[in-house]
Amino acid sequence: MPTPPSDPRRTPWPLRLVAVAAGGALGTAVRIGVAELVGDQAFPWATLVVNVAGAALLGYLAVRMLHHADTGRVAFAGVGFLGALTTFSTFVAEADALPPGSSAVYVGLSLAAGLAAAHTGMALARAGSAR
Amino acid sequence: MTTLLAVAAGGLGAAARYGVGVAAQRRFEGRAVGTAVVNVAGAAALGWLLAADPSSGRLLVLGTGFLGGFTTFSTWMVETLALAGGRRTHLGESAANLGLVLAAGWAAFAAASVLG
Repeated sequence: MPTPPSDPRRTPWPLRLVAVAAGGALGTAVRIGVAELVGDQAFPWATLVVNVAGAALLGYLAVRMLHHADTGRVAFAGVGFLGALTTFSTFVAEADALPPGSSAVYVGLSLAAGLAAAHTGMALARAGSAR
Repeated sequence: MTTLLAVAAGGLGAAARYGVGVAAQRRFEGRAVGTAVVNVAGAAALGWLLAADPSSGRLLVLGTGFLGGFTTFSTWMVETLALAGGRRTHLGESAANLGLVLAAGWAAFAAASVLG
């Protein structure tokens, strides 16, 4: 996310680090919960769902909180929770494990839906703040 | 209990990602370098971990927890769009952030899986 120059509401970095860790633990818990709910599938639906949903929410948050990037709230919700709710390492491992056809579908779908979701989140936030 | 450890490890992974991000931001302002580094490194680490044939508990804590929290898909997507910034001149940088991170992450994962 782009970082604006300075913010009077800037939170001291040790607190931001704690907020990131707390949000990251929560995001990881939700990601594990979704995987449990979805269960074992031939196609990695659980990762696709958290990755796309996380991209939409982060897009929204990135625009709404653009001028408060160094606050505890962004550290907790954006960097921590939404960062850890989604995952790149598992995404790559799953893409590698799938047969070539499904792998191409999984990667293509993840990227297309992820970019569209992030774009939609950003657009909604802009529409909201324009009002 | 293992799930709780995995959740805590996810928090640690996110904190480590933040540390890398802050360091990268100082050197490469607004170029998404921190996210690229954690994602490629995290993919390699997961390949290496899987090659070691870990127990399901160890995989949950280190793979799903720590490396899942360390790497991020949402930030990668949002930064890819932010790099384009609505300007056509920056589309190359944006496309490179998408394509190169995917290619490098996948290659790093595959190489680490083989080399173990």
